[in-house]
Amino acid sequence: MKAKKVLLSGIGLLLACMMTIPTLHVYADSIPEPDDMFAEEHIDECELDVRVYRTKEETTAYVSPEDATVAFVLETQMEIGGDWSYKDGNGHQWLLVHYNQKTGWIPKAELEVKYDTISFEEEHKNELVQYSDDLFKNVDLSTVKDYRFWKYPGSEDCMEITDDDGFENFDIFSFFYTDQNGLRWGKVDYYRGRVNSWICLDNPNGDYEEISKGTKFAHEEYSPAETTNETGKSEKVKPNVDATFVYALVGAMVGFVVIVTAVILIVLKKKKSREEP
Amino acid sequence: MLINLMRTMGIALLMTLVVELFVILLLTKESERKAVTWLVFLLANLLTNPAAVYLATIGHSYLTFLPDLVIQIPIEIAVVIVEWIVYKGYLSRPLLCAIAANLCSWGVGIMYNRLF
Repeated sequence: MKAKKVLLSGIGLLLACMMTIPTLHVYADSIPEPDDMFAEEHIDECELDVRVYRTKEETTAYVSPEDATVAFVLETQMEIGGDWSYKDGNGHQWLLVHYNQKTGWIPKAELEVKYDTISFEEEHKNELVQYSDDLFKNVDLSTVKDYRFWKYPGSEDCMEITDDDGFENFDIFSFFYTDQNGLRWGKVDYYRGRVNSWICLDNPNGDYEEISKGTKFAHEEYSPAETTNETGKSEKVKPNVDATFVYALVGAMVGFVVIVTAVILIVLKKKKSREEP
Repeated sequence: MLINLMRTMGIALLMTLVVELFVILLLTKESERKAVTWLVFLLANLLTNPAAVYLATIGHSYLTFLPDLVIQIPIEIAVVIVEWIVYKGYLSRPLLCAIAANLCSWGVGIMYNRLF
């Protein structure tokens, strides 16, 4: 009898937990979905933003751009990966980040972004070219083997060395760049799971020393993630909600529940003591 | 924000009720399990849980220099004391029930927060 009750209680516990657990998110290979409630609700206004950022000073991450509840606090000069970004009604950019298995939103104005292929493309936008037969008349992609994927031309970070077969044509490259040493590079937006990377077409498997030929590619390692906002002011960005009012309102409701419950408990206790001899 | 906070408090109350019900079932005798006992159990949790979650949320938001555990432990101790007082006269082992039930629900809460 007792064992049956324990079993039934266990099943009840399991069912209740299952009901309260939010729906799990399925991550498709090419269609990432946010695991944050605000991002889910505003998915049409959010953009994928998988860059590396760094805090300028101690930075507060909020539950959402519309919720001033503190999710967590990041230390000064801390590197963190971005996930999605969102622009609020005041023109402020917000970044969704993960930290200690929690999600939080940080105003981009409080962050710096690490130099990456997007920074490179912004800096060299006038030097990026489309495919032309003239440019690649003596490049045979089918013989390219053991090639390296780089973060951007001149980067010391080789993302991957692969032993995949060569390429049939130039279709996988979105645009091209010729560096200061005359080496031609192709930008790969997506290829077999690799995103936003570059291949040095003139030396596909060369290491950094061979490719750079001693020439260091100079750039700032970090730059402001949001230089100016639409308001043009540099005020501290906070969620567009008065948290104090919400907390006071909820506090009043909780206080009401506590008082009513306490009164009922006191009445019950008095009734019980009257009934007992 | 209001909806999120209310949702969090609702989930916390529901999970606490389920977990603590399980613990109370294990720690009480058949003769103690009367309708009034379950009513007192429900009221005790209504008295303590929303207030505890609210205070923990406020502490988490405004006392950011403190680790969550430092905020939660005094709140949990206060909850145990209140539930112990409430359960007196209804349960044969009120302190044990209050401590065990709250330890379990707190542990499940921490696990839930880590997982989701």
